This record gives sequence, C-alpha cells and structure tokens, in this order.
Amino acid sequence: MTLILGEEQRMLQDSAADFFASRLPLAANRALRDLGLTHDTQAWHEMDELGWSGIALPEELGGLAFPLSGIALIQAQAGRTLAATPLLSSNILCAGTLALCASDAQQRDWLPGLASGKLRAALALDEGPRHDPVRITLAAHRVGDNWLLDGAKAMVMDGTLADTLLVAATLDGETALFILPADSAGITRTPLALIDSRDAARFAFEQVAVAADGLLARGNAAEQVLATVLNRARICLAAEMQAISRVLFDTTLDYLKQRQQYGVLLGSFQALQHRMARLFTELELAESCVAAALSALDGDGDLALLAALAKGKTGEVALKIANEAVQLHGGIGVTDELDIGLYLKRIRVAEAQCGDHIFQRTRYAHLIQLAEAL
Amino acid sequence: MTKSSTFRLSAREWLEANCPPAMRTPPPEGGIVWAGSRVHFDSTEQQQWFERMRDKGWFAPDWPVEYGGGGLDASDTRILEEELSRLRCRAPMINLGVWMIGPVLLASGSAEQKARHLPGMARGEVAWCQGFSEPGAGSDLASLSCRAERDGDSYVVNGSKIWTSYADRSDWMYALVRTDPAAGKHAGISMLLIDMTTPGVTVKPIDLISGKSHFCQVFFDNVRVPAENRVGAEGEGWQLARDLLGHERRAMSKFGDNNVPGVDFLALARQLLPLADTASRPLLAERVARAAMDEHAYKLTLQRAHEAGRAGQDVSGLVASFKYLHSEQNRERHELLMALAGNEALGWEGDPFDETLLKLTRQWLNSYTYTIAGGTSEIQLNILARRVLGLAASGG
Repeated sequence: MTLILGEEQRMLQDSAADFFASRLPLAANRALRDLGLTHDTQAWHEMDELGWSGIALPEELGGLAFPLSGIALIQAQAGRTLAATPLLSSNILCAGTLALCASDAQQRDWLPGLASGKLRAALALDEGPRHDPVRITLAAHRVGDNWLLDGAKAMVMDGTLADTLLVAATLDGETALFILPADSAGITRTPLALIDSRDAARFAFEQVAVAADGLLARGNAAEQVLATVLNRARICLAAEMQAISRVLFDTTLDYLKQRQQYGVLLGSFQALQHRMARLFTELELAESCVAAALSALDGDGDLALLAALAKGKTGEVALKIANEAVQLHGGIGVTDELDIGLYLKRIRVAEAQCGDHIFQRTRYAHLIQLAEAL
Repeated sequence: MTKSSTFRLSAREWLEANCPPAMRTPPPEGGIVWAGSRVHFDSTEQQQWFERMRDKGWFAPDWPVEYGGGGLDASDTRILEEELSRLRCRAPMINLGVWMIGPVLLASGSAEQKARHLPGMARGEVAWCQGFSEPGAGSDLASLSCRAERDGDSYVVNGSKIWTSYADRSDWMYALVRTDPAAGKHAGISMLLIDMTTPGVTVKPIDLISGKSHFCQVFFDNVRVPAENRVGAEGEGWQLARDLLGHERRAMSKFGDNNVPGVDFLALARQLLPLADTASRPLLAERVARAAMDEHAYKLTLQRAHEAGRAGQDVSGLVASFKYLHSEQNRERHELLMALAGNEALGWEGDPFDETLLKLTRQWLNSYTYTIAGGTSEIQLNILARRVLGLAASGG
C-alpha cells in the first residue's frame, strides 16, 4: 500500500484544483446558494466534457478507466471551494452498482448515459433519521413480470435533480436493488432545503411499477454490492471532509496570526497555540487514513476497514476543526458573511452521509472482532 | 545489478546467517544489551549477536573504519537499517555513545577526542550516559546551574544531574555545565566529557511509581575534569546539545517497533472484554475501537512520513508530532486496559495475579514517563505551535 500520490493522481488533482478555482470558486457557490440553486448545471456539463462523469468506468462504456481514487481526488478539490458535483451519486453509488452487478443488457441501458452525464442518478437508501443500510422496509413485490415498490425514503442526496433512481428495497426478506426512472408513476418526490444548500429529496413510493429488468441484484449479492459502493462513497466523503478541514485549519491559523486583542496577536496565547497544535496532529492522523483509504479504493488494502477508519477519523476531526474554527474566530465566526459557516454546514452534511463517525467507529469495532461486546 | 542492490543482498545474507533466530523476536523488558565495560549477557545468542555486529563494525555502520565504524555511506546505512527491520532484528545493544555523543564528536570533537573515545563507542566497550536535566532545570533546560569552574588545566564541577538513564552502569557522561554564570543563559553553557570513576562522582538510582527504574541522580562534589575533555569552545554547549538532540530523534526512530517491549493492546483488550460486566461492555468496546483507530491512524502516519520523506517532501511537521502522539496514545491505551482488567489490574506483585496483568500495571505506571521525558507533551505542543505552525512565542 502506498500513502503518497502517484504522478497521474497528482496531475488529476491539479487539473481539478484549477477547474474548481476558476469555474466554481467559493464566491460562485455562495452566489448559487443566494439564488436558491443547488448546483450549476452548466458547470456540471463542463465536468462531463472533461470526462469526469465516466472517469472510473471502462472505456467500452464511455468511461476513462481511471482508478476510482480519481473521483475521491476530484471530490476533495470540489470540497475546497464547496462545489457540488454529480460524481458521488451518479458515478460512485449508481454507476458503481451497475458495473458490479448488472447484466450486460442492463449496463448497456444505463451506463453510457451515466458516463456521459446525460443521466443523473441518486441512491434511495436511508429511511430513518440516521444512515442504516441494513434497515430497509421499502417493500418490493412481484406482480406478473413486473415489480411493485411500496414505501418511503427519508433522505435521498441529489434526489431532486436525479432522473434515475437506484432503490434499495426488501424482497421476500432479502435486500434487493432496483433501477428505475425517477418520474415513474406512483413516485412522489419532495425537495428538501438542506443546511449546505445541496440537492436532496424525500420520496414516497406507492405501487410503483418497475419493469422486470429493473432488478439489479438481490440477497447476498445485493448486500455485498451495496456495502462496496457505500464504502467507496465513504472514502470520497472522507477525502472531501479532509480537504475542508485543511482549509478551515489554515484559515483559522491565518486569523490567529493577524487578529490582535489586548495589544498582542491572538496566536501568541499559549492556550490557543496548544489547541491549534493538537488539531494539527489530529489533522495529520486523518490525512494518513484518507491516504490509505485511497489506496484501498484502487484495490490495495482492506476497503471496509479503511473506509470505516477514514470516514470515522476525518468526520470526527472535521467536526472538531469546524467547531474550533467558529470559536477561535469569535463573533465574526457566527456570521453568514464569513465562509467558515458554509464549510461548517457542509461538514455536518458530509459527516452524516453514509454514516457519521459514531457509525464508522461501530463498523470498525465489528471489523476488528469486538462485535460480541457491542 | 546496482551497487545498492548488491549491498542489500549481501547485508541480507549476512544478517540471515549471523542474527540468531532468538534475536529476531521482540525483546522482553530490559532485554537489550547495555554496552560498556560492565556488559552482561542474558544468553549466548545475545552475546553472539552483540559480538558479530561489533566485529562487522555495524554498531556504528556509517562511521569511518578508522574509528571502528562500518564505513558505509548514507544510502547503504539506510539499506542496512531496512534489512535489520525487515528481519525484525533486535538492536544489538543500547549505546548512547554511538547514537548521541559520537556523532557530535565526529562533527565537532578534537582529533584527540575522536581518537580516544570513538573506537570504544563503536566497539561497545564504553558505556555513556547523558547529563542534561537537573533538579532545578527540567523543561527549561537552559536554566541549568551545575557549575564548572576553571582551575588551571582542569574544571572543577559541582552540582547535580537528574533523570540520567543507566548512570549506575555508565563509564562516561557527556554533560552540560555552566562555565560562565555571568554570560547569557545559553551562552554560559559548555559541554564536558566526565569519567564516572573520577573522585567526587556519586550515583543514586531513582525509584519511580512503577518501581525500579534506569533513571539515576548524579552528584558532583569538587569533581576535577581535565580541560581537554571540553567539547567545542566554552559557551558552545547549548548548540552542541541541540545538534545532539537531533541525533536522539534519529536514534529513537531507529529503535523502531521491533524493540519497544509492551503488551499487544488489541489482543489483550479482546481477551479482557468478554470478562467485563455486561452492562459496561458496549461502552468499553466503543473506547477500545476508538483507541484502536487512533493507533491505526498513527501507524499509517509513520508510514506516510517515511514514504513522503523518501520522495523528498518536507515531513518536519509530521515528525515533530510523533513523540506527542505516540506517548499520549500510549497513555490512553494503558488507561483503557486498566479499566478493562478492573480489580485484576490492581496487583503490585505476587503469584495470585496474572503475570501479563502485573506487567500491564507496571507499564501503565511507566506510561506517565513517556509524556514527560524527552520533552513533555506541553513542550511538544509549544514546538509544534511555534516551529511548525509559525505562531509567535508567548510569555507563558
């Protein structure tokens, strides 16, 4: 396992950094929020043109066949300017599922559209207040050659903009994964306004008919595929949170070097120095977890363990750094004018998505065989 | 085949033939040979490993052959270290001479000092100890007051040094002393090499909360030290000490994972968890998972620093955080194991108690020393804040 980036990864990282700095800088994303928009459709098309929507898909399906870590690297750079991208929902979660378990015909039906960006997909999984991939009550029934879906999904990221849904359901007591158009009859979708102003929706499914070839996988196969793509998503979110943590840390450090009170720089107070020094050590620990998880994303390392470690550690550290960033900025830290608050809100969402650090710690405990005690 | 891969192969072959299998396991506490005139071996294998490495010149692989070293360049030295670590070889000996004062003498010692002292270090025949801290000068080392007054061709030393590891088994000490009380705090300090058999030197071992320890206090009562034993010029002691502490960090990193005796945190936690009361078990397991994640993250950070350093990236910030992280995490893990073992970890000694848990209890008590010795955690945070984060020094 290697913990530093290779040449190709660094080049991708640099071009992603350039793209977000010039095309979707923080000010532009703040402006989108002020207009009530969740993303910049035009900028998303430009990402498609760069090949990012299919970056990790095979070339015969319209992809670039870049290792999966490429998506995490793009997500991290997007995190720095708080830019929304379609990559996590459409590529990692949905295209990733199709590539792992769909039939050739199903792949031909869906993947080229997802790879080109013509289709935008979302994963409908969580039903309760917290991420819980094993508690699925949305029911699937067989009716003739078709399937019928009944139930609800509480929080579907990118659910409002999605034209395609990947739905986790329960079928004869087993997990099953379906793919269907998001405007299928019987679906009610309610857009959600989130603190990070990203796209999300609630869904109700009432007697929603799905064609026979809408079933992608069921039973063990479905559970394993779901586990894999969720672990990949966790690593991408970890990379994004880590990038945001670094921005917040650097911003706060700069502020402590400029802001004067009592006639001295805030940064000269030892109580504050030690808080920053501790955060620095935590930030570096989290960085190493992300680095190892990126390797695992590309097949080198234990994906489940490193996903739990990376998302758990970065989530915990990101919350801590965001909280300290607000506190150390003092009064201005709680104003909307300062960007700190935008980062804080994004971290809260990314932390919760696909399982917060408490969820990940529990996962880690299971994976290192502490489960009997839990 | 390149020169370095040839060396790697020959080093590997030699180590495989010459490092006894018993020396490729983690050593028990105190299981590494303390070099010097009073060297003692617990086993034949230990003695073989010591003598073979000594005769190969590999106690000091990168020193010139004329001083008893191995004459290797930096790249071959690193390869040798990698091969030692790959085979999980124990350090063949502990020798502050080779690790600490030796490199300083090589760089700043007189020709006579090099010829006189380096070969004995490189052959592990002379044991050295470090006289830095004093009862009145801990974190604020530069406030030290052990006095060395010039008298003809000698200095007369009066005062005391504390926290001197293995002073009772050492032949020589390198010490920081105050030669000029009128000069500035740092400028009045010089470095002396002191023969521990000189009349007036008294050594008293220190008992810790964990029991017997290698720490000693050393008293100097009108100890005459020849002026030729001063390293560098008068007033250069502080700078030499800073150079030396750089070597200390390198030596500590060489010590590596193979040589840190200790309980396996996760293995012991797994054994103890099922014995815990049912009600507390989930919370204890959660804390174990958290500590295990921190340990995992730390190990990955060591690996990342190693890789990044090799790739020529600046890793000084990472390296500066290691001591703080390792010692604090170590404390936390021991606290947790103490909680898991409950009453069974309250034993001080004796057969009724499990041997592993008795060891755990002593290690827990000993874990306090690591967040204090070699720069307290608070000093480490100061260093991180000032040197790595660039925050201005404060008054306190």
